[in-house]
Amino acid sequence: MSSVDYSQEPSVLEGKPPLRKIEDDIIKPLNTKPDKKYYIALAFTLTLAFIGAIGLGYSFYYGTGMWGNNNPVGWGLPIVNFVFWVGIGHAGTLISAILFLFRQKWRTGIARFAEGMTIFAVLTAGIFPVIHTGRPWIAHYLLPLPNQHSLWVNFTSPLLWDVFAVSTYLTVSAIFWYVGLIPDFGALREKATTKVKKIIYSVFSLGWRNSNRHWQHYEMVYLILAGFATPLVLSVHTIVSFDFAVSILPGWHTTIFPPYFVAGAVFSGFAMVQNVLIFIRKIFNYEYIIPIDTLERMNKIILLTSMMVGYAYSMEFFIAWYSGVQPEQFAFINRAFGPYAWAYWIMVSCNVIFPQLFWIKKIRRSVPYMFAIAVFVNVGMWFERFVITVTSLSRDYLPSSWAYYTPTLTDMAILLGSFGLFFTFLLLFTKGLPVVSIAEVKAVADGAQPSHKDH
Amino acid sequence: MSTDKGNKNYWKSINEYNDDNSLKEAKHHEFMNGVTDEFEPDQLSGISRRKFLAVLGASTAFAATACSDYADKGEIVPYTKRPEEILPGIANYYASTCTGCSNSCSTLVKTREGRPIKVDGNPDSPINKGKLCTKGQSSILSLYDPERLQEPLLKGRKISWAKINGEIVTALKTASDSGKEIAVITDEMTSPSYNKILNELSQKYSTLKIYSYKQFNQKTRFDAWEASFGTRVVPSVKFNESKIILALESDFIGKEGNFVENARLFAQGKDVVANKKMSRLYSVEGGMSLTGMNSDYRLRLRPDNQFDFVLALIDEVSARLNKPTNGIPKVTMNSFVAKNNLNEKTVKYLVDDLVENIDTSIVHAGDTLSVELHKAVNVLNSLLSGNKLYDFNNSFVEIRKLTSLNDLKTLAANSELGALIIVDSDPIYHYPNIFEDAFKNVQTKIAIVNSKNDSSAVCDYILPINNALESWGDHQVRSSVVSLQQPVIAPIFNTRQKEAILLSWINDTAEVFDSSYHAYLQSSVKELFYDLQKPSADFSKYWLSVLHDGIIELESEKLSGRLSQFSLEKPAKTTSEYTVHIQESYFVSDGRFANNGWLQEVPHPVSKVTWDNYAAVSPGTAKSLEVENGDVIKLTSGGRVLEIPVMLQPGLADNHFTIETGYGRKVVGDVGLEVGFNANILFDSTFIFGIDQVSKTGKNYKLASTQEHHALDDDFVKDFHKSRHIIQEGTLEEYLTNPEFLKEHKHDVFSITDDIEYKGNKWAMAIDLNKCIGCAACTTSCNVENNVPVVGKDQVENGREMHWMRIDRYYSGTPEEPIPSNQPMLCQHCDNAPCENVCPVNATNHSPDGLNQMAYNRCVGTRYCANNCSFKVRRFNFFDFRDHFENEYYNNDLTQLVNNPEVTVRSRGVMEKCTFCIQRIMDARSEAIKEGRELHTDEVKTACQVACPSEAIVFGDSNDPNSKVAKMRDHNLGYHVLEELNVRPNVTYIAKLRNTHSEEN
Amino acid sequence: MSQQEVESRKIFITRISKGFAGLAVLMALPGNFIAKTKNRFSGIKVNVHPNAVKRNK
Repeated sequence: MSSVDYSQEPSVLEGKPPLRKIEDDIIKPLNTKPDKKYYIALAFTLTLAFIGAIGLGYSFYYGTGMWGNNNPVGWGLPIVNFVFWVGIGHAGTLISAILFLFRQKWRTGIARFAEGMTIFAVLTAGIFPVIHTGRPWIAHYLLPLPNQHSLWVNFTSPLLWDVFAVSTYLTVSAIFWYVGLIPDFGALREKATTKVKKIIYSVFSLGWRNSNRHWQHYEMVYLILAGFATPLVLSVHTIVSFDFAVSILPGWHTTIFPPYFVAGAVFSGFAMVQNVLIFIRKIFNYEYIIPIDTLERMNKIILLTSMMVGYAYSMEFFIAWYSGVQPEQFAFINRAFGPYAWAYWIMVSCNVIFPQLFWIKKIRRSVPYMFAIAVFVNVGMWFERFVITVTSLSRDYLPSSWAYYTPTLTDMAILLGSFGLFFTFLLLFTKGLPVVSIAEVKAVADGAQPSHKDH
Repeated sequence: MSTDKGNKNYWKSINEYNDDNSLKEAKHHEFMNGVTDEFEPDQLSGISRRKFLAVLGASTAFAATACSDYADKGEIVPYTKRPEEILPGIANYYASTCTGCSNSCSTLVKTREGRPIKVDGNPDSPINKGKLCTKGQSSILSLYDPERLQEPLLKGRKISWAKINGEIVTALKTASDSGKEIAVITDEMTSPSYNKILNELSQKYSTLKIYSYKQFNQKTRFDAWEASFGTRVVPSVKFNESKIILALESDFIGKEGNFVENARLFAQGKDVVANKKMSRLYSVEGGMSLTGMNSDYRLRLRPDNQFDFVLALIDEVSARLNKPTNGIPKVTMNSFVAKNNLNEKTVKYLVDDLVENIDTSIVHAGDTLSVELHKAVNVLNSLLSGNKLYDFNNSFVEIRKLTSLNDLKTLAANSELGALIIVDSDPIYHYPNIFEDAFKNVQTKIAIVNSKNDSSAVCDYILPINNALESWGDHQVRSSVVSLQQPVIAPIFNTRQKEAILLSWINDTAEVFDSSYHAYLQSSVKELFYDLQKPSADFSKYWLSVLHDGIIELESEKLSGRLSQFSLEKPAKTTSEYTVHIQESYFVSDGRFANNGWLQEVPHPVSKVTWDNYAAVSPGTAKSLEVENGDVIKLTSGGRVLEIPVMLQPGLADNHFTIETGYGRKVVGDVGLEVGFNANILFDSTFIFGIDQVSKTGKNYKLASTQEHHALDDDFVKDFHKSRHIIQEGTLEEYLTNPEFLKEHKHDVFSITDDIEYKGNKWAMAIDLNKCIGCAACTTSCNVENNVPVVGKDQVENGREMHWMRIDRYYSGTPEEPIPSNQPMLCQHCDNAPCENVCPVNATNHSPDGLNQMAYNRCVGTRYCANNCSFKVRRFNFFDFRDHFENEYYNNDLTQLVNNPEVTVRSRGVMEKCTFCIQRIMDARSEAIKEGRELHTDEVKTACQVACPSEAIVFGDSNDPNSKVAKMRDHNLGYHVLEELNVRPNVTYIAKLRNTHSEEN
Repeated sequence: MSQQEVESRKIFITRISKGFAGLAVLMALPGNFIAKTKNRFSGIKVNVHPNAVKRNK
């Protein structure tokens, strides 16, 4: 093991690139016409999104009966997808806000991208609570609007806290992201090649002059917004977990859910970010901006959260046994050995076992391996939500009402559609906005900050 | 231009200053030269601005009137001339009779705005005492069946009554004159007046022969009674006074005899809350029947061995009592027990009980057993209680003796049949082996039926008859009671009463008038009952009063039975390895209700299967045959072949199949089409017979059941209903020694928040599990009262049946000797409801009188409440089931009339559940307010409570110390399901006590 | 009053009555239209039987 020199701060970017190069490299994709590969990718994601739209059309026209939901299992794939997508969003905010507050410079290469993914993930997730209601045309009853019934919404219901939490999350993330984009819009405005682009970027840059005063304001607002966004990372998925934890169903009614879900959200979010990032790095040649070190750090976080999730699994079992409550004990034994055991073991192997490979440094730093493990993590986390939602409902207190849940083609179509929508947003993002935060990366490049060392 | 007043002169141009002429001219023109050259007023659009605005307004008004949304179900049009009888919003009640089976229970029909919406039992009837079975409750849907026959048809073409009658009378005359037989095949006779008409018809046409049959009947019982006692008046059994009941293949509380009455009497014997004692029921059967589920002890015995069993009992009992019998073949009990692998202990208990309770023991044999066996049972009963437990005041009487199968076979073989008249029956479906191709060459074939069936399909002349609710009639099936039937609605379609049709043939009138039968009925009632009773009022007053009451009570002869001497013949034993028992279906009956969606969807009381029949087989036999649930097997007997799926039923005798019939009709409305398998194909002459061959077909058929089928001995899921204290049970002895035994393992549950105080009414319910037999009358009554939709087989497979009330059935014990438990489950209206907390839009909340309310129009359909309900009683409308089921079969103008106007019809995407019949509570409350009083104790009765034949359900105000429910709540046998969750349910269950001997715990 | 005033009053009355007549036609038209196209009374006519005897519960 070579000795690491801690007296000098290691550079975040590889190869000491000049600041000009960074800016040009990041802006270049925005000014070039999309190539064939891009169109093929976009066509693919749009097709998936279209399949989802057809599924949604059937669901609106005929009713929620087109899905596999039935009488004990009132929540199926739509809710699983909702929690999955909201969870994915958490990585972005953690990277953008929390790592910013912790002064982790290596986040700069990935922050823009991750925060964008958060917003797209939350947008995709936001579809599900609306469409999964039986009467989506009156979904506005969920909002506390004054009405002629003189009725407020039910503030003791976790679904309602969801409404507030997710909408707050979306708004704050969007504002945070936008504020971060302002200096970049300024840069883009200067480098704009067509008149249309110049006008658009001018409008969005809000008159950014790159002046000292602007920078001061910017830094302060960014700090405050990071401060706003940080508790959201913890609170939003906590509230989503309350959808389950506040109920009385065995398998749902456990106090470990808030930290367990938050850890799981960060876990799946980081895995998704890492997966997409690997593509971005390759396609745009950003390996020097997002070096292997960054990816390795992300993998370490994935390993950490994997172990937290593993701890939660074992703790659930222990507490269920320790409680002596038969329905509770059965709920967990049923997960592992009942009719859904296949889903349970996929979940455990993908979430707990495979990520343990990240203890090995070579695997942590090898792109193909980490990609594969992150894909497994995503699959495993989807199955975790599936196992939690469906197995607990399918066999609860009264054995006379037990039934098996099978998702239908419409369910699958909507799931595919959500992926299609998310990736469509991403693809449009890569061609419309700078994927990496120009200003922030330049700020941490070597020689960017004034220093007293070598006059 | 100069001004007059010497003001300043204004000018705009030099020309103006100079008063140029051209300028003067120009000023006369409004517009400059040339500007309006192209302006042609004729070419302008004819629409002025004003007109345009007018048209805009009109089209908006048009559009607004055309706007409607999914909730808009059309206009409500008020009466311009209101019929006297009807007050909109106020219900009328009429007494009538149910004709769903031959029991002819007296009913009370509730009508709204001139149409019936609910059928319940008539409380004034001494027989059914206000109770009605599942079939009677659901029969109202048959009135509103869109595929009812509406017009007379000749070879499929509509024709008028006069024309078709003319042709028929001519044909009958021809047949009669040429000496050819005219065969009239009709249902079992319950009506004296109809019988009279048939007699008169056979006098008019001398070659007319009447064949009255019913597939499942009490003929063997009557024949045996006649052989034993010399009369054909068979007493009913006082099950309420019997301490020991032995049921031999007898489903007396499920479907035999007047099972509604039997259930009430049986439950009286099980009323441990009131009486602190219980009867003991032994059930010996090959299949698992409703009676078997409610027995304290059960022996599995293939029905072909029942005869020997009775002989063994006679041998044993007569020896113990020292009362020798003659002419009875001898079978020793010990050898019988050994040969048939019976539980020795149970048999010992049985014999001991019979002998020790000689005056209060009764042995009851099932209708499908042979005449010889019934004779043997009469002998056995004469050794025991004799006549003490027979109720001769309410005996069963025969209006007309049923045709034998042999006579039907002779009819089928008759190639010289002149005319065939099928009245309200379906012989070709019931006896396909007898009647297949039998009537091909008959010239005149007439069907007088309600809806199309297999028999009407071969007939050219089809005459539609009124539904029971549109008909007049009288019914006497018991010696003491005549039940009258009156139309509660004028015939909706161009149908007539079957009696009126026959009258028109007797009287040679072309047109058929129902009023002719109305007059005939009056004179018949006068002759048969009025003149005998000689009341003081004149006949018209008498007539109105009996129609009002619905019942005529008669003095019946005091009969008693003296057993005559006879000898018994042992019937031939089957040598087959497997036997089959063909049985009547609990809900579809013999097939007459196949098109009734509610009855098809009520889960089978034992297996919880809907929309299908199956061959029930014991798990042990299934293992040896290597079949599983749904595997289709082929049964062959005497050349007759049936392919039918198998269902593993714990508690069945080995190497035995029980199959219910009434399914697999080929000619039926869309609801019943392709539902189930026609087991009548296998039937030859007895209901119990041997199978020559059983083979697997390799096909699998999905049976839709409302409960999952777990193997009984699957340790993974065994006995959860016990370990989770969902069903709390004990034995009678345990209770009598320690009345508080149930409280011993009760948890101390506390809340951290303050309890809400309920002053005033607080509605609660108590269900006595000792009295509940699991018959599902409550379920169907709730369906009718609350407009619960039919969802269809595919949706039941998916777990989406919409029943607000259901009967959960749990097994403990072993697959060979299961111990079943039934529990009606409905919304518990929890005070600390888990569902109320989690609804995001406040669609469900708690009322100040203790009800959990559901606001349908606020519900967005997130289904969180259903997830959180620990009892899973909430039902979600995944589709608009009225649109979704069978291509909107029930979404038509006619069937919509069945809906109860006091209950919302729910749309898609809305959650629904039991409301404790809030419409009835509000109705009673508004009556009380109108009369300026408080609600009386026990004034409000829910639909399920009214329907339950055993009075197991009690509903009322728990804050009223005098109410029945308050007493049940505090009873030491009372418990709540899942009490430790602290949801505070308001439904108290009285724990089930089995009357077994204490060593057996 | 003067000739002009009489004229103007006549015109006023004519216009008002035309307006009301138009309104009446407008309101009758949709109703008439709907009544013709939509079967106001469903095909099922429900009647009480004159000879049946009702009772209280």
